[in-house]
Amino acid sequence: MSPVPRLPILHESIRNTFFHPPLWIAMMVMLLSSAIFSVRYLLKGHLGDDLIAVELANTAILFGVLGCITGSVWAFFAWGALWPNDPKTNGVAVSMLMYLAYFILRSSFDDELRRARISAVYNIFAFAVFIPLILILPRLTDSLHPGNGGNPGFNSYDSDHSIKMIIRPAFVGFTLLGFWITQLRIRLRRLENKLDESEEAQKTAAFPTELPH
Amino acid sequence: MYQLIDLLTKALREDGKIWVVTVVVAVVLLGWLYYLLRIGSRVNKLQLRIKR
Repeated sequence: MSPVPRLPILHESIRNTFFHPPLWIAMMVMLLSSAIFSVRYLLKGHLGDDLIAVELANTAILFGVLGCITGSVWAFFAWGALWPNDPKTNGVAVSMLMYLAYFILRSSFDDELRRARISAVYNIFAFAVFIPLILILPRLTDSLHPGNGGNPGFNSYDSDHSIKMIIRPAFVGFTLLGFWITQLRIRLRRLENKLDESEEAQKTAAFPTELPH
Repeated sequence: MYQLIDLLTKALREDGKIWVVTVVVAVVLLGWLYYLLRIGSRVNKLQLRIKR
């Protein structure tokens, strides 16, 4: 294993920085992309953009859930609680609930166009709230997280760049993996939609709604 | 139960917490695997629908 900075409470668990923060970075990039596709949908009205936006949000939530679990495990051994009362963790909880509400909102509409339009507006709003909750507010108050609430970040301990050398490629790698999973889901959804349409067309051909006179 | 958790926590803390890293890696990999397996089952369902 490569050498890492020796810190009193963290010890070897500082290696979690190679996994836990990249999950959040990947999540943020995917949510930003999702918001961009929602804006694109509102501007152009292509349902394909709405599909991309929802699938990006879906994968982002996977990364968010994994970020929460890995953070909880790390917090349990470093800070002594699975969910410490910290502005960043609480902000994350609120953000995740907001995005879960986005999926519930989508499932409550039958009309495809209405669902796409209203959920696109909600998605943009959710992203606009997500950024202050996760990046700005924790920096303004006391926080356990490094780099927040006046705490020094890991950069100040990483004089030999042993963390940066791994964490930066990890940011790129995790994000690319997220996009790869998303494109799999998008292609699958497109195929499902096409199959639904062709099955519907077959049914209509077999049982025409208008009876012959 | 809580005593057992306390003992486990102490034991894991004493050895430099490398186990925490192992647990975190396992969580990340299992999460991705579960998600990809779910996509795989959706592909299987789609294949069955096409065959029908």
